[in-house]
Amino acid sequence: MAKCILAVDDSPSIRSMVCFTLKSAGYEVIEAVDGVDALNKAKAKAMDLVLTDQNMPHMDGLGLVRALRQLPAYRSSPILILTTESGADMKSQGKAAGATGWLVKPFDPHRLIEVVQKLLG
Amino acid sequence: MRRRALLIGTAWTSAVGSALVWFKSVSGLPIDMTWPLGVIALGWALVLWYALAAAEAAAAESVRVIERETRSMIDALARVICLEVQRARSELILGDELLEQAIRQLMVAFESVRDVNGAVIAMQFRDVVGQKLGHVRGELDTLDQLMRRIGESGQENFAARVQELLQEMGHKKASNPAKQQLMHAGEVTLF
Repeated sequence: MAKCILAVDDSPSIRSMVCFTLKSAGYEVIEAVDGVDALNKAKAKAMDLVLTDQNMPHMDGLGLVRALRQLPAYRSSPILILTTESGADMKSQGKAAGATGWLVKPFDPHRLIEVVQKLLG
Repeated sequence: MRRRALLIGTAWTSAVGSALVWFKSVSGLPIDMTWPLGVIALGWALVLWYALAAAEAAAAESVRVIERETRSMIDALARVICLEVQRARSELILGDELLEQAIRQLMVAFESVRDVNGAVIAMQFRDVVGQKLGHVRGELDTLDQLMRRIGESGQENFAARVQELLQEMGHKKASNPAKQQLMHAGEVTLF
């Protein structure tokens, strides 16, 4: 059974590209438009990996990471932040929030698949 | 003002001195110098007080004139900056629309592109540039707000108010979320 990835981004074009990239590698992808939408979907179905943007309305990426880490099902799930933010301060905040990794946009599809495969085994 | 004060003081001293001389010549009585000196000192004190008050008023008027002139300059500057901000906003909107069109065309041509990897990286251009544009729009909005609030400030404590607004603007300044200058793929960090 294909692993399920939750792709969270308020940009439809980024969601399309992430979806296209991960589906081409054989993953099932569920899309969410912001942190609140993602949290609801994550509670409704167990995701193997969460890939989220940082700057989103209603609930940002860091907020989503913290909220997911409170859920027993996501205590140790891989959560990646895919964002335009590249500063060391933001990365530290991501690490402190419980993120597994920090990817800076624009992402290289090959590299993204490599990272996901590494985290999902 | 200083000359006038000196003249009045000197005239007062002369007047008291002349009165003393006339009194002595008329009465022939010895004069105790304590009270005439006290009167002269009082006169000088009044002259000095008047001179200081006048100098203070002149200084206050100069400050008001400078404030008025500074205010007019800043009002004129604010109007010019507001106009430029409006123009820059319109350009940004146009740029954004053009980018959207370009990306739509790119998405249509996506199927025939051989380098899929390169195409996906390039298509993220819209998101990165969009965030940069959003950041610039935010900066322009802050500048626009600052200029309007300067324009609305009253005459009283104008300089202090401008300083306050500039400090407020400094605190509000948001960091640019998209610092990318090249379209290479971003780095990956696993914690």
